[in-house]
Amino acid sequence: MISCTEFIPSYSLLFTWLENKVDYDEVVRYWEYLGRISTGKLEAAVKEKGLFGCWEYWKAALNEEAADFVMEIHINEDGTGYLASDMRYCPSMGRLLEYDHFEPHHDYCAHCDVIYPIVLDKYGIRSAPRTLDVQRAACAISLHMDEPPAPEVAAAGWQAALKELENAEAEAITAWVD
Amino acid sequence: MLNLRMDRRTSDVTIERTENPDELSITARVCPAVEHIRKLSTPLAPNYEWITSVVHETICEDTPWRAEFSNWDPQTGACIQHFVRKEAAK
Repeated sequence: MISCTEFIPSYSLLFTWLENKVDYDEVVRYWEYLGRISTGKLEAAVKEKGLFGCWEYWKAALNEEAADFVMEIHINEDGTGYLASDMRYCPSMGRLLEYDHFEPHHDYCAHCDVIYPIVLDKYGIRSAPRTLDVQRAACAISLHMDEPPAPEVAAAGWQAALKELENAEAEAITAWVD
Repeated sequence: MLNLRMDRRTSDVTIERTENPDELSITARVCPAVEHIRKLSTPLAPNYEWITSVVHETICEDTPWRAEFSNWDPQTGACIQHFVRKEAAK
């Protein structure tokens, strides 16, 4: 077990080391590898509930990481819709910016752009281009389910969304139906 | 269409060290726990702040350090938590 205080700089330094040792493409290949082997939880959620699986996955992950963010999902009963995330302060990049004894990898934030679409694309979820403000550790992204998934996936996602609607107040989530 | 919005802010807390190595101040401008309780329209327990002040005082028992707790605002959870070496405080 490694704490996040050590993991985040180690992660960034590994990217830098790979790039120095080989080249930038090698770093991207490493991210692609991570996208294939380390996204099991996200894949399970998306496979079962479609776009709503993204909401559940990032809701848990971002709260665990104590991120400063706003996340919205707008989902239809047929499973189509979109999720938008406005990261006001990424705890990972934010931590790197606080260090002054080494330089973070010059394209550290790009690992998210590579790792997650690998699994999302498989299930028909399109990632729109992300806007980045690296020096403020901020970014914004949206994920779109343009075509309805299989009916059982749409149903599972819709049922989970209705359940979230019931519990919204207790979890300080704003919810509405239109 | 079903719409959900989750807005989470990290706590607005600063930890300050002065030039004096024998003191440390933690300033919380907004406590996320108190903020959450307020959002739920649940009354804050009387003496809620004791979960911080009493715990700090207890941690400092039988040590050269003293914990002080001040500027508590039950609306926001704002407070100043101050640790100082007992000898230095004399």
